[in-house]
Amino acid sequence: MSRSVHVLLFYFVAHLGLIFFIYPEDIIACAEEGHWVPILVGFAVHVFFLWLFVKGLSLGGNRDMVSLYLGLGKAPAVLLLLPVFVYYAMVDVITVRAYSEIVSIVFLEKTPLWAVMALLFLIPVWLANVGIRPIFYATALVAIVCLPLFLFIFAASFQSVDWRYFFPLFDRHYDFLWDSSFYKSFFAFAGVFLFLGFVQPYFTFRIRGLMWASVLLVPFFLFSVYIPVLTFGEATASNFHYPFVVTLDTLQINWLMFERVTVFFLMSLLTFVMLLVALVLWQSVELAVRFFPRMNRGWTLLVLSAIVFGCCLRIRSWHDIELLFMWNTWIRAYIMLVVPATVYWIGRRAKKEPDYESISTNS
Amino acid sequence: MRVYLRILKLAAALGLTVAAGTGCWDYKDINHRSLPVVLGLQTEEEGYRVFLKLPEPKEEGTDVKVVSAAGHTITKAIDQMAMNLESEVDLLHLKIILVHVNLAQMGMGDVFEFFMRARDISPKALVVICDEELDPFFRKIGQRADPNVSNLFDFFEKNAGWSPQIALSRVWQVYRSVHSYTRDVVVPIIRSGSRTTIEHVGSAVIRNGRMVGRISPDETLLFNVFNGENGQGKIEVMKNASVMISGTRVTRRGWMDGGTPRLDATLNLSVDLIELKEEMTEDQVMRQLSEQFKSRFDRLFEQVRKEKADIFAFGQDFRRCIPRERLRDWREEDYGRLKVEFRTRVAIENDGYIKTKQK
Repeated sequence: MSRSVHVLLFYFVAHLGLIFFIYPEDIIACAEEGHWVPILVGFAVHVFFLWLFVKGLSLGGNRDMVSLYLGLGKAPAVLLLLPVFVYYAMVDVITVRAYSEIVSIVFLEKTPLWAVMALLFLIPVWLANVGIRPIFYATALVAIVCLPLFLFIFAASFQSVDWRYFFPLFDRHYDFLWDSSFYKSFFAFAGVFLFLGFVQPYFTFRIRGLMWASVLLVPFFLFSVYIPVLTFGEATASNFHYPFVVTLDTLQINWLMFERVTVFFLMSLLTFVMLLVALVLWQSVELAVRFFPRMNRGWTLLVLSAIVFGCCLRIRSWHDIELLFMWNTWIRAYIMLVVPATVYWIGRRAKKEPDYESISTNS
Repeated sequence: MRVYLRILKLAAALGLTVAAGTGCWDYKDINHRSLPVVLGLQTEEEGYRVFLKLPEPKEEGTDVKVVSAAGHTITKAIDQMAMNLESEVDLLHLKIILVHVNLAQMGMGDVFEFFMRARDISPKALVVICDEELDPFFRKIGQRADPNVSNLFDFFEKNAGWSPQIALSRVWQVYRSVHSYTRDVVVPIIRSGSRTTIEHVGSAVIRNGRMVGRISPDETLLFNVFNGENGQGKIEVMKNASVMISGTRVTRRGWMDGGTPRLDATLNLSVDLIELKEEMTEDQVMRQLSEQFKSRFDRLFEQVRKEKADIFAFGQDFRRCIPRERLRDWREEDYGRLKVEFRTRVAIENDGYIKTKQK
């Protein structure tokens, strides 16, 4: 197996983990009809900046993102990457907190939330501690076990769709561009792709393969929203938290020995999310250590995890998570737009100056 | 030394996981849980009275016991019962929700919102309306019932007692009808029978979560057929012939003719001949059968249109041609003016061992 496969697999699987929970709710909230327009608009934005990002990386000589930024000098690099660090911390807090909330809603309703969060967080911390290679190998292993299960349940979720709910096809107003929910939905895109800027010395990947992997995600983005809409209709689906999970609960598969497939679906996606959290933690530590080489990896990770977990415990209600989502909209825009653009710019510059490479390897 | 440290770390991580994984804080043995299969619900002066049919394990087999409590809200009543029972009530395996007819007529929007919101109640549970007071109903079926089987549940099971003229509507479908613009459901009505334990008396038409009318079992078959359930096994009796339905398929197309919505619906029916009287020919049987279905459909459609309930989900076919703002008032506005052209095409698949005349 070429090493590229691991990277693409992680990209694919981590997105799957993010798509099916909060994303459908946001998209359904932002448009009353013609949901495919906001989905595809969001996706096009993502793919364009993803391409810009990886193109910049490859122009910059296939080095990791941090050394590219360091070519600008230490102070600008710290300034430019500080939002990334903050965003990563927020991603950790939000995903751990939100997903443990989902777990407690769906099947562990009496378990205290801190215990669910601890479980959901300890494993990623441990994974982040062992490094990036084990994370990717674990991804491959988990994908072999969980992807077939996931695909089966995904296929089964078409059980009671009524295709006529697909109409009206067009939204006449295109109000979604002014709706904050639409910008919240970018959470599903922004959390993952930056890892491509960190994998380079360890793993390689091909741009074309990555683009195919993202195209492969389109049906999942579309149907995560459309399956609830086609099953319930927009008027009903807009009442739900986690519309996709509710739809899964209505599945009737008599010959399956398990009555609630939702739990299996959730568990397989949860493992994907744990891998994502692990990698995000690892990246945060990497950022910190690269800028301040005197810091010890283990301790940095420990302190960071303690802070993140403390934040998770501080959040008392779902409403607070929504607020957090709103607040980090701006940082998210920075991650999605500014970071790829600057990486592309730096990459272009690096290509033009042949001596640039020697400078950066010294630093 | 480093190896020991690593093993220690690993052991600590695993130990923590195992400790957390047992979930000791909410563990309750299965024999300390009551898993009701049927939940009955009726209104009282202040709030609801909730009935739970609980299986009770005995030395040989199981017994059934029905408990009830009243409360301002459903959860209050359930809580009351859980307090008085020696085990915890766990609604995870609830299969049937039995609603008294009065409550259904008053409107069940709030009730179904609760059922959808409640994490432990499955949205797949069947909704059934009971035509008599729940207390005597449970008493009667309790006397008759074989304690080893859950009659009420088997009655609606596709691989047991279900037949095609019984509607199957689930909690999520009723909830959908509360909010959807263009879609309503019907829910079966039962009462305790004189000979059999349960008697199916037809279905209730539910519009926006409220019962607005009743239809007969034969009409329910039409509803089922329109919703993609094939009516296989149902016997259709005419004046001098009877046939068994072996397959059904409905094709439909809606369009706007100027300002009036129009819809073509064709029911393709395959039947097996069973009984014939007075030298009937196949052609006559086919004609009689399609006339019978047509008049039944026309009558039913007239009725539900008066009740403004779109149980055939005809509005769905107009999603293409009517903008959403107008669709919102579909039941009040366009549905009333809808013209449906209903046709039946009958094909006789076989006529058993005896030859029949074609014409």
